Amino acid sequence: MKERLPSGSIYFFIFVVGILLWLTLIPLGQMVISSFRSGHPAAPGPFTFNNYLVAYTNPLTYRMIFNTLVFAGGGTAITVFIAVLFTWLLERTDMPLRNLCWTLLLIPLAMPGLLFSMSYVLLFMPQSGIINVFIRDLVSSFGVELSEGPINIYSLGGMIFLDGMRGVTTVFLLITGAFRMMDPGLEEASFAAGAKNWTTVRRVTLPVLRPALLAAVLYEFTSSMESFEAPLVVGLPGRVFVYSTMIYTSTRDAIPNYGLGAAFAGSYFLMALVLVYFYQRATLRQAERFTTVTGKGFRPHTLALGCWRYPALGLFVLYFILAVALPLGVLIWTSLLPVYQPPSMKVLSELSWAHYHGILTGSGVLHAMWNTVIITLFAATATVLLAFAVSWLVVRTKVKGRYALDSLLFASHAVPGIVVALSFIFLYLEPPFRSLGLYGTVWIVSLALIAQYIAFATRTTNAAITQIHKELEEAGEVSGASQLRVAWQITFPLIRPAFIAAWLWVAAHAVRAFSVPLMLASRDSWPVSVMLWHLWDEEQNLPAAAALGVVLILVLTVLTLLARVVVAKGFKQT
Amino acid sequence: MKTRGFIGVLMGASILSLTPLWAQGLEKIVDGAKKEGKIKVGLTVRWEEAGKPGAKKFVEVFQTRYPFLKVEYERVGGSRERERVLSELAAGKVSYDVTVLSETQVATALRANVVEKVDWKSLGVTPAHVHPDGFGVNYRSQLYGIAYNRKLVPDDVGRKLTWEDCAAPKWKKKVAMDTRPRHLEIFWQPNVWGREKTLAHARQLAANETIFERDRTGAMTKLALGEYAIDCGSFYSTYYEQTRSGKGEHIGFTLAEPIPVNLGDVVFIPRGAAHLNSAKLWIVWSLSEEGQRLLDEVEGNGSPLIPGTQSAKLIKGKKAAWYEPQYRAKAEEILKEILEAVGLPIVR
Repeated sequence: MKERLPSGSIYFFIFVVGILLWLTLIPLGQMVISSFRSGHPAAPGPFTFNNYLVAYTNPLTYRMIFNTLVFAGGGTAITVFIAVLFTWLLERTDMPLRNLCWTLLLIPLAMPGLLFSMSYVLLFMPQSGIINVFIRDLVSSFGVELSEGPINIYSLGGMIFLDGMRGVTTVFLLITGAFRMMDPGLEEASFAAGAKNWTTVRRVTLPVLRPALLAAVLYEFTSSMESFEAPLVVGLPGRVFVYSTMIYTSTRDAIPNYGLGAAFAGSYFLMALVLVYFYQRATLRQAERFTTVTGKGFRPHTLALGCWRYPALGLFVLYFILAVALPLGVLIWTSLLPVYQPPSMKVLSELSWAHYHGILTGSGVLHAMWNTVIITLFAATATVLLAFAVSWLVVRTKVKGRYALDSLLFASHAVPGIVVALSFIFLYLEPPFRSLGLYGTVWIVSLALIAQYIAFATRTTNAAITQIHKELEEAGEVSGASQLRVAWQITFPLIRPAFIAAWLWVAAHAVRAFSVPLMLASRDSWPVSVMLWHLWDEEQNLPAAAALGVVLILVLTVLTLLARVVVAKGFKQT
Repeated sequence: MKTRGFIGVLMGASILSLTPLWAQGLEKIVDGAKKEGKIKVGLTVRWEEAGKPGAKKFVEVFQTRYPFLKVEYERVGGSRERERVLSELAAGKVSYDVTVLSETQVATALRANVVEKVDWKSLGVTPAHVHPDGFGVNYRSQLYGIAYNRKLVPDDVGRKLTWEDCAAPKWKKKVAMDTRPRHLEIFWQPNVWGREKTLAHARQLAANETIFERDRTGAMTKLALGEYAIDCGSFYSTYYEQTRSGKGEHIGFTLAEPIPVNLGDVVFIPRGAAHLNSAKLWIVWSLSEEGQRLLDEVEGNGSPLIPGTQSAKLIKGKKAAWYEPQYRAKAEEILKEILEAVGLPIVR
């Protein structure tokens, strides 16, 4: 059946394009214009090249770019190494308690990056961090006196460690399918040829999985480039600047210079764009060139670890302690104190639930939670609905310009959260959009999150619609239904599992989103993540921040485990 | 000589202007405020600090004077919070009837036309407290000093610390300072250290790997924990808050000479504020002797122009360096130069 485009679809296409331009290109365009202006967005000054001159003639900028690359590279190396190790142990070996470990590996998703970084500050502050105090006491009993440290979390090394530990679960989820689905015949052939376990892993398993690993590496590197929490919490006190914190401080410190922030954002966006391009290529190559699921035997070979079974479990336990138990433990300890202090017998008498009582009875927290719910529900729902509309236009119609639309979204994937937020500031603080009165509301935060996540959601819905044969829709059209009605009543129900998965992905990110609401929300509209930062940074009330953090982690843990059940059920029913 | 003359003018103006403050124009404002019935205030004083009332007490006393006004209070903290408020005002979102900006934001606020112009002097506000640009008032005065951790720096050493010590190699990597070092802005004035000496000091601070903290209370908390030995340019009011709330056991504080004195941040009424008369009443009362003594009690930063306040007592007989109006008006340029010398990333 020949594709046609009824007039209704043209209007629909124009409508969708209009929304996407409003969310992506127009703010970015405004930011580029503003990068050539002096003054505050509220009172723009004359046009100038000065922002670019200052940004790119300052040696600090190149130091910052170097820091960003080292930070992202180091964090990615740690993340991918740990994730590959655990994926292999959990999917391909006989390590004990694998099912339990699989579930436990999801829990770090429930700990926002901000809280993770805060907890490590409490553990490793050079003078008063709990573990530093413990180590100094320990070595002093051997006659070694240290005046500080020995570990300084306020450093590039500290940032890399935090970033490396944070991304493990995401990369694990990205590559676990490839490990599970790979053709076992290749490994069996290796064993038949006399190769040992390690040789097979090194020379067969990892090379076969190379496209999936490359995609994971690029994904993680891009995420680390965008990372904001660890650079903010431990980088700034140590004067280690990366792109995200440089843009933030340009617009929020003693003398804000938004134009300078925009000038930094330009090169940041270009670097991210290159990475996203390679990520896209890697994922396409994985899909097209490396077919590892065939019609032959499908159950992968399980490697016997022998005497290494329990040491392998020990490694997992160590990771869990570092990623979950230790940070959660120090947050709980701090939340029970009137003022943060390292543990001692003397302090035990001061422990109380006062901060929990304050948090749970205070209207401010409830209001922030309500804002979080509104932002999450609106951003997730609007993003996937828009993604469905875009994917339907791109995949199912022949309207001119549909590939340009897809490319626009592909490029928007490269815009880091802090840059999205900055571009929205320029757009909504200057006329004519200023008159909409959106600045400082939950709606501007939600719109910026939609702009940030729409690219990911369309990749999911594009793939889902492509998999559905056109016959079903053609049958609907033959029966007299309009194209829009067919899309809504036939296509949409068929891609529901992908829709749910994309919704959960966006919701999981929106509920923890930090950089966008930090830049755009006002006191009335801030979500829990920004309130947490406010308690930590502005109020310096570490125990109250810790108490709110513990409550947040508990809620997110329950939601994460529920989401896993929902996704599993949703896919089973389809 | 110049500084003494300046102080003399301030004191004289203060005494002359306090008398007519409550006699002139107040009735009209009170009548207007009665009709408005409420006011929303966003200022930097904390509501409570470790259980002790801060702004809470301020609001309570204000409401006993003017029981017909319901006060809603929110804290607006440091530079990042103030930047948020400024952006919101520019976007037309007026959350407060009275709020605060830093000196460095004044020019932008004026250009963005977000300020309600009020003739504060005609309402009896001490001329010295009226901002040089005429739209707001300065209150919440600050004295800057050197705070030290008493476990790391013995009192006999700490009490003798000088401003030059802040950049001394002896204290390398052990000194913290504000990312907006207001005390250096004051030293920059020609009648104090002057530009060259201040910038050389700033460069030496950078060479000494001074740690820059964005928050005064945060710096004091970390100082108490032993993260730093010394915090230079520390607010006297922050030290006062810590000791008042029982958290200052390990903190010592010295007012090295010349003692930098600043009359405070810029408090103003945003354009479009819903309760204009109530806002004027709040500001005029805040700058009255009663308001300043109360501020002195809850935060330790009442005006040094009012005899008997802590700051007035602390600078009495000492060499003080006042942040003079003509230089406060140039705060942004002065700060830019200092930050460039320090090497912080915000450079122009």
